[in-house]
Parts: sequence; C-alpha cells; structure tokens
Amino acid sequence: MNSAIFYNLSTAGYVASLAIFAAHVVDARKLFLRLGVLLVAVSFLVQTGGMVLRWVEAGFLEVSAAERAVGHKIFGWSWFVVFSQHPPWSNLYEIMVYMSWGLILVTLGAELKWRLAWVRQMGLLLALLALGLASLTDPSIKPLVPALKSWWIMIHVISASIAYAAGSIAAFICLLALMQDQKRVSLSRLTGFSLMAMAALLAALGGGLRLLTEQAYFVKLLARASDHIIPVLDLTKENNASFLVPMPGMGWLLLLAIFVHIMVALYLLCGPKNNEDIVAHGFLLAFFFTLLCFFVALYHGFRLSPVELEPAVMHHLSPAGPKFLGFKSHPWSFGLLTLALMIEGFIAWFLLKPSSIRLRLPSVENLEGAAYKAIALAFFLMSIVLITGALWAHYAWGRYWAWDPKETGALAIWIIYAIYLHARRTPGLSGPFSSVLGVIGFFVIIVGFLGVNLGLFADGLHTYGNN
Amino acid sequence: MKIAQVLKNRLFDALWHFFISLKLTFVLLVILGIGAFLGMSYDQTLNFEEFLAKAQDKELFSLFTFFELNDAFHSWWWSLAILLLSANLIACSIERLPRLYFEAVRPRPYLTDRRLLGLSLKKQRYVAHLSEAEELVRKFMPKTISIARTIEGIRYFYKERMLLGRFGVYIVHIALLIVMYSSIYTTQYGVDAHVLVEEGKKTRFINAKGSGGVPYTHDLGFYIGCDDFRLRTFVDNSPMEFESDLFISTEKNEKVLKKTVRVNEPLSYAGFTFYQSSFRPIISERAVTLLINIDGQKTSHNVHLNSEIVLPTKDILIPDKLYDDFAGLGQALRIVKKSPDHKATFFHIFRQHPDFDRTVRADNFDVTLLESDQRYATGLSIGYVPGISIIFSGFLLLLCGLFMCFFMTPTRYFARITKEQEGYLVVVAAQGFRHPHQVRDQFEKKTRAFNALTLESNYE
Repeated sequence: MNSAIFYNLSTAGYVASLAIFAAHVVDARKLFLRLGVLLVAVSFLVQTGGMVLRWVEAGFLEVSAAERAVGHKIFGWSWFVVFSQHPPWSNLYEIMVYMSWGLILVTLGAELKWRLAWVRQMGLLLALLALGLASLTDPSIKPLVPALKSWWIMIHVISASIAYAAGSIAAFICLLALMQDQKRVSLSRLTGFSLMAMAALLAALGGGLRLLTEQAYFVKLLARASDHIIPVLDLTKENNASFLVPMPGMGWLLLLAIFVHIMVALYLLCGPKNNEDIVAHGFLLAFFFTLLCFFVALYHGFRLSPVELEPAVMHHLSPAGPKFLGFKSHPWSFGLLTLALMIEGFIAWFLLKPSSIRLRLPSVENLEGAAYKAIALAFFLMSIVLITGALWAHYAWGRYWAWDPKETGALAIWIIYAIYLHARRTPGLSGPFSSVLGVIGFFVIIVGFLGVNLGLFADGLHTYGNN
Repeated sequence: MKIAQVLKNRLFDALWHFFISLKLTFVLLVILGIGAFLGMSYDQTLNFEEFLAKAQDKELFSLFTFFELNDAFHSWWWSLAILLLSANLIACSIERLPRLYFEAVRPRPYLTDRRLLGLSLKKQRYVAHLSEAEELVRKFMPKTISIARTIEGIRYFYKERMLLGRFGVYIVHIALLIVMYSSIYTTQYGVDAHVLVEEGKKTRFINAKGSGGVPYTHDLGFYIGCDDFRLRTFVDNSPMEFESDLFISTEKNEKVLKKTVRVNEPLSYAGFTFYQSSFRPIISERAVTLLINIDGQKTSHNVHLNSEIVLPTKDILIPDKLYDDFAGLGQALRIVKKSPDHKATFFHIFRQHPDFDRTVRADNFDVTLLESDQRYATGLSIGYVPGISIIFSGFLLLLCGLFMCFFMTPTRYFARITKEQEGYLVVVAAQGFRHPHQVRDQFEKKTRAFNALTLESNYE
C-alpha cells in the first residue's frame, strides 16, 4: 500500500460527495447534505493519511540516498533529521495535492461554521481541479535540493496553502454576496465585471502579451521516453528549455474569445441597464467561446495531435521520435481554462435561474461577514508566509528580500487583502466594492502562485517549484 | 496678517485631512499593488544597460525609463508611494490614537439610560428577588467583574475583555513603519554581493549590486578564500549537498578564521555573512572517464572535454558536452565521432544506463561513461545587512498586531440592577469593537439563560 492509493481513494470520495451535493441541489433533504459532508470529512482524513504516508516514503528515500552518498548507515538524531526533512509539499505534484488538501480543509471549516450553499460544491470542484493538475505533473519522489532542507519549509508552505485556499473560498463567497445583493448591484454591472475578469484570466492563460503580438497560443511539444510522455527539450537553449509550438486553432480562437468577453462586458457596463435577457444572452455568447476553447484543448489533449517539424529543427530536440501535443503541453493553462469554464458555467446558471441560486443563500450581510473572516485568515497567513519566507531567505541566501517574482506575487496578494480590509472601513467603498476586491484577490492569487509557471514572469529563486 | 494666518491654518487643515484620509491609504495601496505587478512583469535583476539591450519596444522605452521599470522597487514613484504611506500611517495614528487611548483607559463603566441609547446589544428583565438578579448578572458577565458599585440605590457592574485588541491596528502600523524604514536603511547602507572563489584561491573584491541594479566592486578589506569544495550528488547526479572549507585571511596572509559552510550554515566575520549559495564547475577543467569496448577489448580513458581519443579503427572521439540531466535520464555525455573520411556525427551516452550505447547504437565499438571529475568555484552570497534584527523585530511586532486584530474581540459588558416596586429590574448590554457578528452571537448565547429565567419569573 502506498500514498497514491490513499490519494486515489480520497479523490473518489470527493467525486462521490460532489455527486451527493448535486443531488441535494435537486432534492433538499438534509440526509444528502449530512451524507455529503460526512463523505468529504472521511475522504479528507484518507488524504491526510496519504500525505503522512508520503512523508514516510520520502523519509526512507532521503535516508537511503544520504546513506549512499556518505557511504555508511546513519542513526539516531541524524537519521530523524534526514528522515523528516522531506515533507509532502516539496515539489509541484505534492504542492498541488497539498493545495487540494488546504481547499478541502477550508471548505469543511466554512461548512461547519456557516453552512453556505454552493461554497461546498465550488470548494470541492477547486480541490478536484488541483488534484487533476497534480495528475499532469511528475508524481515521483525526488530527493530534496539543498535549499529546501530547512525547517522553515514547514510553516512557510503550510501557511501559503491554507492562505490561498481561504482566499479562493472568500472570493467565491464575495461573488455570492454580489449575486445576492439585488439592491446595490445591478445584474449588468455584475455580469460586465465578471466578463472583464474572465477576459483577464483568458489573456493570462494564453500567455499575456505574446498571445496578442504573435496571435498564437504556445504550448510544450511532447514525446515519449520509456513509458512516459515528457516535454521535448530544445538542446540549443540554455538550461534545456522546453520546445514550444503554437497549438493549432487555439491562438485566434482565444483572441476572439477575449475580444467577445471585452465587447460584451463594455456593452453591459456602458449600455442599457438591467435588461435581463440582454445580460443573459451576452454572457452566454461569451461563455460559448470559452467552451469552444475548452473543446479545442480537449481535442488536442485526448487525440495527442501529432506535430510535424522540419528535419533541421528535429535535429536539436530531445528525446527523439514522434512529437505530439497533449494535456501535458499546457497543464497550468488548461487548468485555468477549466477554472474559467467552471466560474462562467456557474454565472450562466445564475443568469438563467437567479432565484434558484439566491433562495439557498443567507443575507448579504452574513455573506460579507463570512468573506471578511476568510480574507482575514488569508491575510494573517499571508503575513506569516512573507515573514517566514524572509527569515528563510536570510538564513539560506543572505538576503531577506530579493524582489523575486514569486515573493513579489505573495506581496501583491498581501496588498490586495490589505486594500480589501481598508476598503471595508472606508465610507463608500464597503459593501459591493469590497466584495469586488475580494474576487480580484482570487485572480491575484492565481497570478502570484502560477505566474512563473505560466511564463508571465521571469524565473526566480522559486524555480525549483517547477516540474 | 490675519488673512495669512487663516490661509496657513486652512492649508495645514487641508494637508492634515489629506494625510489622515483612509481613501489615501486605499489609493496608495492600489499604487503599490500595481507596482508589485509591474515589478513582477519586468526582470528586476537587470541593470539599465541590460534592460536597454533587452527592450523589444523601443517606442515605449522612454516610458519604461521614466518609471524606472528595470528597478521598480527602488524607483521614484515606488519610494514616493512608500513615503506617502508612512506619512499616512503616522498621521492616522496621531489623529485616532489619543482618542482611543483615553476612551480605553476611561471607559465610562456605568450603564446609565443615556449610555443605553448608544448600545445596540441590550436586554432587560424583571425578577422577584435580589439574589436572582445577581445570579443573572453573574451568568452574563465574564468570570471576574472589574467594577461593581452602588450609586443612588442602583448597582452597576462592568467588565471589559481583550480591550488591548483595539490597539492591534496601531501595532501593525508601527511594525510596518519599522520594517519599511529599516529596509530603506538596509538598502542604503547594506551590501548585497556575490562572489565565485575557485578552490585553492582567495579574493578581497566582491561583485556587489547597487541602486538601479548597477554592479560595482566592493573591497572587503580582508580576504575570503576557499580551501576545498565538496559536492555530494544523488544517483541521478542532482546535488544532494555541497559545502566549502572557507577561510578569512589578512593582508599578511594570516588565516584568522576557518569554517565549513553549507546551505543554511553561513560564516560571519566583521559584520559580513558568507552564505553557500551555489557552485560553478570550471569548464576548462572538466574531465570524464570513459570505458571504450572494441570487440570485447575494454580500455579506460580519462580525458578533458573537447580533447580527442583516437581509436584503433582510426575513428576519432571527442567528448564535447556534459549534461547534468538529459531529458530526465540523468547525467549524459555527447560525443562527436569523426570517421576516417572526415564525416562527423554525434551520439549520447548515459551514466545511469551503461548498456545504452551497446544496445542502441549499432557500431563496431561502444562507450560507457564511468565518471566525471570537476574542479569547482564555490558561489558565495555575501550579505552585510545592518539593522536586520530591527527588521525581524518589526516582523514579530507585525504578527503580534495582526493576532490582536483578527483573533481578539474587544468587548465591554455592562449590567445594572435597579430596585422597582414589584421586584428588581436587571439590564444587561454589550459593546463590541470588532467582529460584530461574533459579539452579537456571544451576547445572545449569554443571555439565553436570562430569558429562560425571565419566563419562569413572576412576582407572586
């Protein structure tokens, strides 16, 4: 028995509980709700067990690697130090599994404290998305690089994961508060703002400015090595960089989707207000283009579309053999595309049947209170992330702050929550405006957490977090 | 003269109101947030010349230089925003702190009718006996009551909980000021440098980075040297641990300090701290040991990269490129093969897969990579961070302040018992200064027994 079995079991549990929660939407019997929550809790315990087991597996690997390197057996305290130094959040696969764990923890906490409808479903979907992304990364346990051999990693990463999870859940609660607030938030403004945010998300996952300038969506080329599918490396580049190719049919489609999102958003924000039909149809049009992008990505992902290259180019690529595209060509962007689809799907449902969403929600005041508490937790934990990161960097590299993209990203997250907390106390900026800031916080988390992986920013000191 | 005085006062008032505004805080935080994004988007490790060379859009370049985007976090606008934010924090504290302080130390503990008007959480109940009334108050108030006094026949009770939490915001602001100003001092007077020292050599000049990413050479005033560098690798050739035997020596070649440094275990001398941060192989002194098998006859060759091995078949092999990790397959070596007819091809061999060349490449010989040897230069990060302990104290204070803000709920509890004609009137109230939902829930919880008693109470 290994940790992977525990992870698979817990994933199955989360999927089953999501189905039960879906049943509860149709049939509001309390039994479904209780059963769903119980199953989530049990699956969470199984996942926790899996993480503990992975820690043990990594510990034995570290001990064996260290013994081979030093040429003799190690015992006692030295053994314990080596054994325990590799927590199950040390590479990208483990981080994503751990992110899902944090999301479930916060979702369960929110469920026990507030029992908010839709939050449990969205929390589970986000956790499953994180697990899906983990499945696209290398799950093997590799010995830790020297810089990560520090006790600071424990509190630094634990705080980061729960802070990101709390921020994500808070953003969704803020969105629900905006949906519920019929008096102060017009439907067209809410939809226009959502479309603008989605356009920004699509632009970020598409590669930012590069998508605009080259009208192409660049992804990694894949090839088979042994039994694995791995990204193709360009041997002419330094550090064995991945070889990128444009995904056929995706560049212009993404640009079109972004354009439609922005145009509809501008129309809704500047045009006639509160015509529910126009709002719904405009949004559905934009949603249709997101759906198209998603299907193109699915098509290439399942089909493993072959890519033909010039022999002169093939010459300096590794590994040799047929080259193709797949899900692993763009795991992060595909994850974000799925996320965009999930959020837009929920908003589309809201626009088509607003009462079915609103009926199950508590008052705006309660929703805003819950969002504030989640954001306060995220802000406090982000402070711990920044402080422990600075301490760790000081002791490991001799500088407590280096303006590395990832640490600046963490600072940006901290700043957006500081803005939220101040806006809540500023007359005229509390209420819907602060909820909008809470939603923006989620996008800042995405950019701060995945910006380097998406290629939006330069590599920094945190590049060992890459695959 | 009077007009000038009035204008002066008005100007001062306008400036004061500008700086105590929460909206200013909001705007400045937005600017800092946008600045953080800009800083992430443009590589901050480049100096101006490198930034200029890398810039793709020359038309927008003047805009980039105006906003100093190559060093956004030391630019004029970032510094201005920080300066204004600190002025804002100080002004807000001066404006609000004294009032808060006096209100906190002089709490007005008596629940008069006038006081009751300003409180939203309040309840009143009648009971028949004084003991019942006292029991109700005991259940409502926290364990120890601060004030219990009788004035004109009315008994007043008062207790405050976690009132220190009201000062959390100010502690956070003070901590931020400490961190911001110590960081500016550190940047101004500190040294952030890096140096590569080859094994067996020493240096007193280090490559430091100044404002705007401008590199300069800093004279340590003493020598830092490396006796030996050791690298331990895992089987896949990734570094497991690396360490350097460092020494500090004076002008007269006297070694005053020796220490083995590793990642997370630095050496400190004269205010400078030397951290093991990286290493670099010295390319010219990279050697590989190859085992060449020609028809069962195996010969071992220890050669430097780019040197030639002439085989009995007249083929010439040139090991020219060593990969630490080749496509996830571990350490690999690229070998150029020159045939007697001067045709050049190349092939790869893998240290972890010794049979790879024999089984994959059908040739009249096969090559195995036995080991690689390397002389290294140790990479040291050098920090001279004056006032780092002040920054860390600021961090600690920040955490304390945040804890007080988010995990403490300052609350005041009031109660009074008044003798009425038919019994006793008990009035209770609470005033929360943060987390209103939580205070309301607590109040409702505490007054639950109160309600139950009231239902049963009668005056017969």
